[in-house]
Amino acid sequence: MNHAETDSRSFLHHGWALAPERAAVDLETRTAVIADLHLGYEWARGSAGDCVPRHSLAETLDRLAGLFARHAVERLIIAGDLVESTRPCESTLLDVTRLMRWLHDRGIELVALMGNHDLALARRGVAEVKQFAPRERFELRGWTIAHGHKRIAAARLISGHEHPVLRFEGLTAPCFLVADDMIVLPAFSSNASGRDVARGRIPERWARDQVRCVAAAEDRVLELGPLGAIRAAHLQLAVPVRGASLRPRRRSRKNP
Amino acid sequence: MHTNAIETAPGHASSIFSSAVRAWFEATYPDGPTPAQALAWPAIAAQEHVLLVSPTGSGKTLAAFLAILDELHREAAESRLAASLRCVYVSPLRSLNYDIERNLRAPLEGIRRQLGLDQSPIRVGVRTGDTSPHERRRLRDQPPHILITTPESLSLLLSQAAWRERWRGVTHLVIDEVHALAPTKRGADLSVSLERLTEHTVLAPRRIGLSATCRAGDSAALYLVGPTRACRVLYAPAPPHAQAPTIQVESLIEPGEQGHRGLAHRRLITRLRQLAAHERTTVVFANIRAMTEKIILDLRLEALARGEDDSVYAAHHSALDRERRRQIERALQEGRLRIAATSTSLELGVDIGTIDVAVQLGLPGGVSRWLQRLGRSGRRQGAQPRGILLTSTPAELMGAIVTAWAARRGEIEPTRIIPAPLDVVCQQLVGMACAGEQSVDDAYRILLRSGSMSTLERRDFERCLAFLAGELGSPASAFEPSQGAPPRTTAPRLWSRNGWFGVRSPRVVRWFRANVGTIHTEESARVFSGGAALGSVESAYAERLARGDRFVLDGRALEVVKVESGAIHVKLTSNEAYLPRWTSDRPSLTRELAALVATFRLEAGRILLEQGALALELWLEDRLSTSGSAARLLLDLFESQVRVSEIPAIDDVLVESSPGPSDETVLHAFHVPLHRAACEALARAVAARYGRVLGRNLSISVADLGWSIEIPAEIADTIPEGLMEQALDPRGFQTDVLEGLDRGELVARRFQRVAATALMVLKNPEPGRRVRVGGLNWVAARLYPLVKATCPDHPLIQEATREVLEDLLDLPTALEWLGKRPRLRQRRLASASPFTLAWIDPGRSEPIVFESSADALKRLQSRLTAAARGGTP
Repeated sequence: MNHAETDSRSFLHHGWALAPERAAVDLETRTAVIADLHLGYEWARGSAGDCVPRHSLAETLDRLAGLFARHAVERLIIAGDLVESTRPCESTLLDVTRLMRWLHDRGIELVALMGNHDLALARRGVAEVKQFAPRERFELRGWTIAHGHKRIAAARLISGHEHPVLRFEGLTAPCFLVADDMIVLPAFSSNASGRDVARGRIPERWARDQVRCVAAAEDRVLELGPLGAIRAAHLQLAVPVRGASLRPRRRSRKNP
Repeated sequence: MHTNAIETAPGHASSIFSSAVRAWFEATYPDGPTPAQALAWPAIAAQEHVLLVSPTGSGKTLAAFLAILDELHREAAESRLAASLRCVYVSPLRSLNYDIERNLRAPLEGIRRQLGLDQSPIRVGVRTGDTSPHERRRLRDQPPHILITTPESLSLLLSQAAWRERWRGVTHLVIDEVHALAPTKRGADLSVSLERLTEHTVLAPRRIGLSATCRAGDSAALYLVGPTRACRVLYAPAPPHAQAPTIQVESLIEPGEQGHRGLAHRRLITRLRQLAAHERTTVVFANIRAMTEKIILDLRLEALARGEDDSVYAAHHSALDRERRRQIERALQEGRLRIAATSTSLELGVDIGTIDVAVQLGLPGGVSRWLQRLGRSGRRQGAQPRGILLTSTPAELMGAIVTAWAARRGEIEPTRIIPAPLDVVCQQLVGMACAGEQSVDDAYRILLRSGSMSTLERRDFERCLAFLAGELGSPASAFEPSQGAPPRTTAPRLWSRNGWFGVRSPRVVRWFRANVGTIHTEESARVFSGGAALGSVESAYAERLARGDRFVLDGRALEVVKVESGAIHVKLTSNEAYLPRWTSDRPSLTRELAALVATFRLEAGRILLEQGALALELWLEDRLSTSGSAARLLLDLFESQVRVSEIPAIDDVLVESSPGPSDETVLHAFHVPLHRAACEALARAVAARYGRVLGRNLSISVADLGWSIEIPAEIADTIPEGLMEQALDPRGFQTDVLEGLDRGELVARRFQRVAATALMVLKNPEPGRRVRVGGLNWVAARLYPLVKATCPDHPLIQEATREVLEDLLDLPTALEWLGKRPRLRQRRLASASPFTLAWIDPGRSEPIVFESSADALKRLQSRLTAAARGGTP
């Protein structure tokens, strides 16, 4: 069986448990895959001139701690965009170092894959722990894991980069998109705004009949069925958009 | 050269002037001074703080300046006039500054000729955002005697240490359009700047405020001078030759045609073409930018189809390129335009020449605003200001009739000053620090003296300082690293210790200069046609544009040829195009007008029931000066409302339940005699109380005179008896308003503006460093909850909440009305009532979230599953 519920909170897809912490966990090899952490998001904003509270490292660690409490994980694969800034500052490097040390303290092996935001980080390296040398791809149980910003030849691909979300009645739920040959991960960071899978333009790969949507809602994931059906239904489900519409709205008076 | 002693001929105001000034004035204005001038000159000459209240076209500029020019000329004659700044004139409008300079040039030139000099001894300079870097340097190195500027530029100048000495000799501050500044954050910002400027002067300068009509005992005077000074308020009557305005109310639809918006629009274009044929120049106030574009596009297309000149129509709004707007203003001044349509941008100041008629589409919102717009017309000597209110629905018609009635009686609204906005405090504190180290106590003292900040609490002031110093960041997290604790916030603006504060780095100064001001604009993308800038569209709209898409801007249909980041390249097209979306606040009625409309509605209902339809028709025609068909249109509305329901009374709340617009909801429409701000408060508290009982997401739609709540149809049967009574209980009301706010989006959206004004998040970030991953909504969707969670009493959370509760929601009015315990009247209807459709217009609603996202998604899941099984989703 390809789809099954592992516990009431995760959703099993070809042996990958899709967890509400926005991670895909391979139960067999005890490997968790996450993508798009955008660590140092606030420092990037700071270098643009914004004065906002520090938060992304703490949120990342909180979410990872939640994940590790429910799944025994020995290896964490970060499928690209570990950091936000293409010019990472000292604070960002410190956050990365702290994340690495935190994983190390828990005996978790880190595998970092290259994302489009990580180029400068890879050049510069994170001196304190070890040379930061992200790979382009990682192979596991017949699946290829990569960030997804570049075309990559793979029979079955797990990727990030697109930040899929489902917007509904004023809510935004990060979601996984799954098919027999793909898993698209939601962004791990809450700072990534996301691409609305119900209403936005979507890549061709997502427009296939077999693509299904699994949404992460607080402490559980919910399988919502084919993405096509969600997109077809979105007109009925959509909350009216605020703002002046100047297309004439015909409304006949129903009263006599 | 000589100066005469002051003549004391009583009753002749120009007697205060030196001979050259008097000679020029008498030669130029043989009729003598206007009442405004006669009142203002002696008071200004007597060194008093003056607020001059007078209608437009009453010679206000000279009223303010001539006494100052006279003083400067006297000093020059005695060789006492130093080459230093003496008078600062501030106007809210950038383009107005050039008009003022022009208007000053004539008297200066005339007086120079009277004196027989080669060059006027008095120099005038203009400093706005448009001023070239070269000119800026020149103004700084050789300050003029009279500096004409805007609130933003003044704030910038005050932030520069090099200007500090320049203010020393200032003796006069002239503030134009006080009525427009006083009730805004922009005005609050200016009021602090005025105090900061005053702090640098040797002799506290006299303040001269100019204002269109405002009420007696109004807070505009407090705004102008602050709590520590006395202000003389001078009410000038209209000049003797001026005529009272005429106001016409017209309906674009006939009885029986309600709901045909396309028809109303076609009639609108026809009516405007008629005006263009008969009047020299008409200005159309369309309230929103998209409507402005639509009107001009349609007028132009119609003209082209008939082989007429289409260049006599132009749109004017703030999304058009500055240079394009300047062209349109010039065309107006030179009488080359027949019709200019504007959102609000032509409402104030700027000299737009001779306008024959001001047309308002729909409602202006308030009486003062309508009189201001109306005053743009008939400025020629002896001409009469004329205004037409063009309405396309019965509710608009009713509102327009009442607006016209109140405007003829001059029932203008009081000015309400925003009390101590903390986002403005933050920006001003950064501005102070940019000019050099500053004492904390002095800063607080300066703030307290300003009219807008007199109620600022020391505690709030200190929290603003703490935020700017980066001391209000996240609390220690569970995973706080042991060594080398990272900073709590990014990029703190200030350091603050031992009772002093200053900027952290030169970058802060740069950021301040790039982001000064309180005017909120959405992030936008510029639109270029053949390399020339046309204007801009909001980024949220631009994001959806692709090559080949068509939209309207500058009254023309455009096709996208190329999309770049931050720029859209277009070419003209003759194909059909869509209107861009621009975010704007929906205009609403003032408290006073809403109450009037409710009263008139009730009175009309009483006449209909007691005396019959004919009596109502006559009453509408006579009492309210309505035309016959307009009266019949309203009669229709009232008759159909009475047929299915009733006319809401003043001390009742009428609740009509009916199926909702989408059939998946049930609609509860509440009719109350209050304006939208009070209805916002009521709607949120009622939604919070409904939500607590029903446990489902609801949506609300708020309007003037009522609101509606949509409830999912499948739980409509479970609504307990008595829920409506409970929902209107005044006990615990404020708490529930807050809960309703928390579950909606209003505060988060306001926080976006507050964070920009307080310089927490920069509108214009460091070049090349804009962070895009979070999307356009990051501040509302992420930063707001983040700041709220990490620091619940953050001054900017406090300000966003205050702004919503006090400026957007009228809690006191709502509470006062609830306290009268209005009787609840319930009606069940087969469909939404005519009054609900006319006034509340449900459907443009805001979701109010009571379910967890997991519950809402589960509901979505079961709906989708049902759909997959063949049901309807």
